[in-house]
Amino acid sequence: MKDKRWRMVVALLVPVIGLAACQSSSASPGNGSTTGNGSTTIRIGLSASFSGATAFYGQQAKAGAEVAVGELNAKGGKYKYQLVTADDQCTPDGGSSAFGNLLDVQRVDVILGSPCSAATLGGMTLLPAAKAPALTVSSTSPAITQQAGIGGNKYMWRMNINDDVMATVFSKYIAAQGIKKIAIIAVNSDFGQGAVAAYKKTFAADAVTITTTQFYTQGGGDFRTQLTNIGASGAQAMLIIGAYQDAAVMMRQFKELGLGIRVYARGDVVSTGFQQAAGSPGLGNGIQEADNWDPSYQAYPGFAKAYWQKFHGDPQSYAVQAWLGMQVIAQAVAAGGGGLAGIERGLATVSWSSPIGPVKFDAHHQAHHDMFIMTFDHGMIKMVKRIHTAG
Amino acid sequence: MGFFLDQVVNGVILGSQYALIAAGLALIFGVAGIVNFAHGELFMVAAYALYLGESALGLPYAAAAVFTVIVMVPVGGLFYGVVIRPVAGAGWQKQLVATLAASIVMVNLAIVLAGSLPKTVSSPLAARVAVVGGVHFSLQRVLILGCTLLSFAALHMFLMRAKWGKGMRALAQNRSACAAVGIPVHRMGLLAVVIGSALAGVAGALIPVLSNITPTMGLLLTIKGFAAVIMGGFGNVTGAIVSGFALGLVEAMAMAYVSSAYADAFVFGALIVTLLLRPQGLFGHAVRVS
Amino acid sequence: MAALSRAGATPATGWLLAGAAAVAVPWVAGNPFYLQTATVAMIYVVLAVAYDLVVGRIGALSLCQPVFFAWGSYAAALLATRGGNPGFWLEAVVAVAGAVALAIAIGVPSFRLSLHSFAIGTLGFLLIAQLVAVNWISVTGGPLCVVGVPALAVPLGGQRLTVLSDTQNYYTILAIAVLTVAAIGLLIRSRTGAALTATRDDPVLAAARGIWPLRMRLTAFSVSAAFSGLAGVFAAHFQHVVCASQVDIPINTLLLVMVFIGGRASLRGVITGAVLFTVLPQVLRVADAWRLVIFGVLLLVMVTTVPDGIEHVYAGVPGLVRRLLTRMRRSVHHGAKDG
Repeated sequence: MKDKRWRMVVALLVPVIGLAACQSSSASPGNGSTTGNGSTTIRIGLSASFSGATAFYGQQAKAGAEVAVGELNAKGGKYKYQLVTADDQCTPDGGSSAFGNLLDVQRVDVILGSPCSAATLGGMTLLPAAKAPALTVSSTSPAITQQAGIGGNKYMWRMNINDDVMATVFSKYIAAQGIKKIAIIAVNSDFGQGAVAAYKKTFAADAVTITTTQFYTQGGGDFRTQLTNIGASGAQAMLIIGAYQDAAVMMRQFKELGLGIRVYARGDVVSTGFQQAAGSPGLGNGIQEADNWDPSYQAYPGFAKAYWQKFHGDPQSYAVQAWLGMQVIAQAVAAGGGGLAGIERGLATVSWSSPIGPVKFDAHHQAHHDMFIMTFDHGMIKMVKRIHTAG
Repeated sequence: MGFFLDQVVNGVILGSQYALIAAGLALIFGVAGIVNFAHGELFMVAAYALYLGESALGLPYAAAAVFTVIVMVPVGGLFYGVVIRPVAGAGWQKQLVATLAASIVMVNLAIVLAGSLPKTVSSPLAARVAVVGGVHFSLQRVLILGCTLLSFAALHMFLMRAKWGKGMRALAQNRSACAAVGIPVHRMGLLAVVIGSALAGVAGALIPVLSNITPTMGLLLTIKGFAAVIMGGFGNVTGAIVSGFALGLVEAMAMAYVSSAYADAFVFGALIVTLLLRPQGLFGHAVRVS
Repeated sequence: MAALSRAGATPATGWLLAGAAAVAVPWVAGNPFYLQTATVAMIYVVLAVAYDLVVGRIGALSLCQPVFFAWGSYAAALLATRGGNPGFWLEAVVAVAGAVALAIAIGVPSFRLSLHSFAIGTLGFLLIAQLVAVNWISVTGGPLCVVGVPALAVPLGGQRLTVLSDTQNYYTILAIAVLTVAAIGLLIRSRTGAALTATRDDPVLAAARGIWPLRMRLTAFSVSAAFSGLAGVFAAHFQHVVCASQVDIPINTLLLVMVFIGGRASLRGVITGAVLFTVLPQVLRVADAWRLVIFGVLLLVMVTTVPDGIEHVYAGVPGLVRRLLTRMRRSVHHGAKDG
């Protein structure tokens, strides 16, 4: 009797493992050689979260990268691009495992990732031994820049401007609008905590008092208590640091509680994603947000159209940044040649006038592209200001 | 005073969620003797059922809500058949792990099928806001509280008056004696799971209107539901309901007056303190454990 | 021939083969990634064997095991980055002492409870620990993690050996794993182990025989915590970063999968489960999104159908070997007869 059940279990496992083995054997090693001479296929390894609650980071990033691969290959030329992925589960051990898989098993020429800072931090420790470059386009933790570039990990590069830079600018912008007392509501993650630390410093420098700082868990669903606290704290304005899914729910409860203060944001709140999640148009009217990408797609209308045609949806921040990152890599390949060493060389010399501003890496391997201040006006996304952060 | 009242209202609203989940958990444990780690996932399934009712079937909110509760009945039956019944006689460790495994499957299946991006549902009452004594709240919350209390009243009447309800109370007191007098133990277990699933259906039909629907929405709810069940005395439905509301108030007060980040720590801390001082829970009977 | 079959069927042969395979891994591994995966597998061998002490031997379903593991990791990381990097021995002492203290603090109130309440009570402790790890930013860095943890430094006879390469890391954790398995194996075969089994199977009777259940359970719980903390020390140096994600439910779920599918209270089963479920996710990389669904279904099917798990397979090996050798002997005889 027991043996029959065992056969059932084995019958379940064998096809699964067989399928997996077949798939992994079909992933042949790329011919991007480490000497970087005349190799034609560039294999890009995307490390992101494809499972669990953070699965949409990876799904978005992969979608954006795929559009870029299609465009780059259509242009023709010396190099052909190929995208492979590895799930890093948004944790440091996951990042370490994903980076290791991409480098040693799938033999990629460069790693794109991770959108999660924890995974990037865990994976970047593998880069020096493999002499392999990695470019993150969405990780927000300041620790990455601190550990990268000069005096640190020479193989880690970051494209997206981080909150230390953006807070300095946005803080002044908010103070200039006459705000003296502001409350912060932030997601309790590396992104939220990092941003709060940055804004605490800059608000103090601009003589803006933080009346209260409230944290929430991602996907929490009920923000009434935090919002009531904020309402009672006497703030003139509220700064949301979080993603649009939570912000949409938050704004509904904000309206329900009858709070009338001004709302600022730092995340991807002013976006088409928010509009879909909000249900009612105009829920976000008046919100002003500091972004490191352009949610109105004016800067890259061709990409937005191509993305819509392929995936029947609007690209959100992770997709846009992955698309941009792929092009940075293409620039590096054009400058330094293919292969691990070529791309590492090329990244150091990239000076690209991208749709979101100049992309050129400083001594700490950090780029300084433009910052966007966006708002919802009568239910439409409008750009208020575009600010240069370089030099 | 206004601020305090605001937070009391918040606490009661949070508490009604916990109470609905805890009531189902307590019933299932009392009658079937099983700790259902996947109960929050039943709530999640109900929420997606509501979404499907509104979007795929195009039903207006009221019809979609009724559809949700009705759909959760066969879902509960299926859950009992696949997860609970096979481990009915096995040790408690296996039962716990079985429901835990079911929880993992349900959450990740939802992620694969529905995607991890949240879905929204709307109700005509959600946008209508009432102001009472300086406190603002959406009429949907009144609906939630009303339906919650109605459900509990119905449950109470069922357990006290109906033949099957009395049988369930008997089972909770002494399983072997019930089997000896011919009470159909397995059928009672099925009924308990179905009722618990229907209660989760009530929660799923009403609450997601105010926030949104994600695959992981049930995880934290299960744990807090358990906290309420334990505080109320394992298997004691009334105790679970009261504790559910109490925990909601504790959480709201902690968030308001102490720290929003550590609010959950207070909830679990309250659970642990209760267990230290009164291991049988606030309403349970003392049981000697060596 | 008969002697050979007897030798082939004993558990000792199995252990020797496993040990030889474990030692040979760095030569056999084709690339650094496989070696790193094997290293992670060894970490989970330590964790799973320690966890089985609680689940399999005490019979208590604890859901707070990641707390001890994370304590060890944070202690090592903080000592190495902010405490002057004193080296492995001091870190180990702090990790083990702290883990034991935590185990007693959690165990004393929790073991008084009924079995179900124990599970949920320990879960409550896990969630509180998680909240502390995420929010006590000044110490743990919260979501920003403790970064830049250097390689493990082992002071030995006046010198400081640094565990730098993948191979060195692997042998270090292999040593820790062997120590863990040996220690717990000896514990189980000792009088304490018998007392543990007695406590698990019939606490009232055990108490009547003078074995105090609480003391036994706390002992096993503390030993389990100690080894988990030790694994944490290694993990911090191996990964170079410690995040609050280490104090989370999925790690405990993975341990549950390893222990239940490996076979509770079976050393060889749990070790196999640990290795299998570290390697399997790598094999299943093709279906990332479905990976956890497959895990859950596997666990559910295993729990409802095959009670002993992989141990069931091992238990059947001696019989299998015997039958095989008997058949071989018979065919040899027949061959000789037919000539």
